[in-house]
Amino acid sequence: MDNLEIQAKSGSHFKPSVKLDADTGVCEIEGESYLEESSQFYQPIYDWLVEYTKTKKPLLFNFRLSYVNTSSSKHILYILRLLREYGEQGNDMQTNWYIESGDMDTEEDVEDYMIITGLDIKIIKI
Amino acid sequence: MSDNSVNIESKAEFLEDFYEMLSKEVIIAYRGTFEKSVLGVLAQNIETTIDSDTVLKRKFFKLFLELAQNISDHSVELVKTASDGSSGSGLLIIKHKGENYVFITGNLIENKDLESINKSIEHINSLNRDQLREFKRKQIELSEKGEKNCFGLIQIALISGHHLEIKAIEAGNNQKFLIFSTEISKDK
Repeated sequence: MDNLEIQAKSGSHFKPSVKLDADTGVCEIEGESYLEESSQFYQPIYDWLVEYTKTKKPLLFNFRLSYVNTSSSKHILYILRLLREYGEQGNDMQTNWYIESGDMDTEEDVEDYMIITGLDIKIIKI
Repeated sequence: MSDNSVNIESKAEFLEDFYEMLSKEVIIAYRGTFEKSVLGVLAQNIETTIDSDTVLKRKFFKLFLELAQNISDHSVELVKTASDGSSGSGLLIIKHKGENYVFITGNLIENKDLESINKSIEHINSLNRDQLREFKRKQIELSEKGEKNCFGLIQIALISGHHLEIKAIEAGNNQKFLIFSTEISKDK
């Protein structure tokens, strides 16, 4: 299974960087997600995760998103639900969300994602 | 000849007043579409103009993007984009107001949409933060099902932490010019 990497332009406020590593099971999504064509962006990430979860290998998903626009939110929820199911099936899965200290808006967003999806996300303030 | 000089005098005076207002109060004043290329330029301007810590800068930026998206998605004044699509056009002004930043947008809407916008804003303004978050979660679920929702407006209210205000002006052709404003505190 191949790794998936999407490199955002430096300083981009619109497209996050993505690195999904099939060897280590460490997945990162970082930056700001202001996307008009959010389905087009998130579908390959979701598809990659569906394939990876078939391996039953450990999975660590680190979100470092400081802004998710309304159109991107539902795709984030699809990913979070998939992660929850993977964990519920007894697989080794951990989800972290890194938040800049003092960024209450993002912290509340992540808390809301937890309530909606039932996934336990570890909030790490940096 | 003398008429011309009076004309130029008044234009110069107008320009001087306008420039002074822009320099002292206005951070951004823009009218047009909110395509990515435009947003990129405006975002860069925000980065360099807003002299505050990164958390407030981020809040400022999120609010700017949500409002820009609101115009782009809901303005009925559509303009062709470079990528052969179309994008809603409107007006965005961000200015200083004492201890706050004020965000004002203006765009055309259909008369028939005003009532539901009014109702949504009235409801959003009546909720405290916890109630608003609960309402947001319900609206996200509607958005997932592809149903009509006011998720964007709730996000704007949550980010700003202030009431949302609107005023509609008759624009003819069964349309209204909708003026929308909110604020964020400079001390978060």
